[in-house]
Amino acid sequence: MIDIVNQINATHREIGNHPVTTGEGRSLLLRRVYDAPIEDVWNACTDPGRISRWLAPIDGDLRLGGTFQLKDNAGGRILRCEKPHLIKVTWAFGDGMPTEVEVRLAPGTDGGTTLELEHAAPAEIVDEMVRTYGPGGTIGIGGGWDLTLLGLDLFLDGATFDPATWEDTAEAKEFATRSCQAWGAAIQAAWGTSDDDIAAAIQFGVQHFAPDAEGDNN
Amino acid sequence: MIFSVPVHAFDVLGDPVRRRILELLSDGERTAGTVTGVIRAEFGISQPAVSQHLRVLRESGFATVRADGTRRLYAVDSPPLQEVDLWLERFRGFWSQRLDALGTELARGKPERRRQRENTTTRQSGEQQNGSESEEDT
Repeated sequence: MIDIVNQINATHREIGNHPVTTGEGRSLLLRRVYDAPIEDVWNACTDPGRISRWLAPIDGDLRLGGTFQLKDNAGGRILRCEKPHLIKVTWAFGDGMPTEVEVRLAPGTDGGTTLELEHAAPAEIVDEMVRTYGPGGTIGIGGGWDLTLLGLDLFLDGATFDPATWEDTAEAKEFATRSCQAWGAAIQAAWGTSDDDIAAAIQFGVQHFAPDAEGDNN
Repeated sequence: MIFSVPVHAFDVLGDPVRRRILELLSDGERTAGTVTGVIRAEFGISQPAVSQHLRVLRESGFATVRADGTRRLYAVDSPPLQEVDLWLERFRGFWSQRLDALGTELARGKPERRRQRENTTTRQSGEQQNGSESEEDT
């Protein structure tokens, strides 16, 4: 059983301007604490066998400069790997826009680990998307990362699940719905989005992660 | 089993993902894989969700698909978009008439405003006033 409210509140969410290698960026930041030592969190994020149990099966040459591909998910190149503190990779879906993900780990005060995940995309693409289609995509991406980091928490806590299907459970959907609302607030704070536009964007995210919640199943 | 169901064009176009897909296809054919990659990166949605949107576009006639070896190539099909265009045409007529009328009204107001400004200028003899005036008149 997931403690949904606490899981939502456990994460700090922020919209920022973290650059990408090619220039200006727009970024999402998630920060949360895991109740596990830093070596264990590092290991869960870098060992292919363990990655497959909470994220997705991974293929590739998992070392600095090598490439990786997550099954039915993103692939990229490993730009930085500084054990046990920092991983930075390029992150792309096929021909989709090239983005970058940086994961930073730091030991917490009582044996736990603080994890920060920053996902940056080229500013000109994101700005154009938001201008034309609203910030729904940003909410979709934020919700996806929230589910990912929740999966890591369940995994570090010893749970066994199928990462390909657990997002379809009722509690994961409820969690994703609240995550979309939380990202809506973070986006509005950063970009000054109008109430109507942010409501539409949240609805877009909720409809994607939890289509049943609205009784709209087409 | 897949049935082709008539869907109102604006229901199809009401979704931002479907509008984005049509935009991607407007430059020419794209493989399902390319479309899926772009949409997943931009909207953060899953592969099955993108497939579902492609299916809606196909079944509503907005997009066509053909096989090329193992690849599936998507393209825009114009009839439904032309339908939308025809429908909008009526309102374009409506709005351009209204905008013409507004233009006429604004032109009518111009001498009146200029008179008012000239009065103000003579009263205030301000430099700022002259600056803004020359801008408006261009």
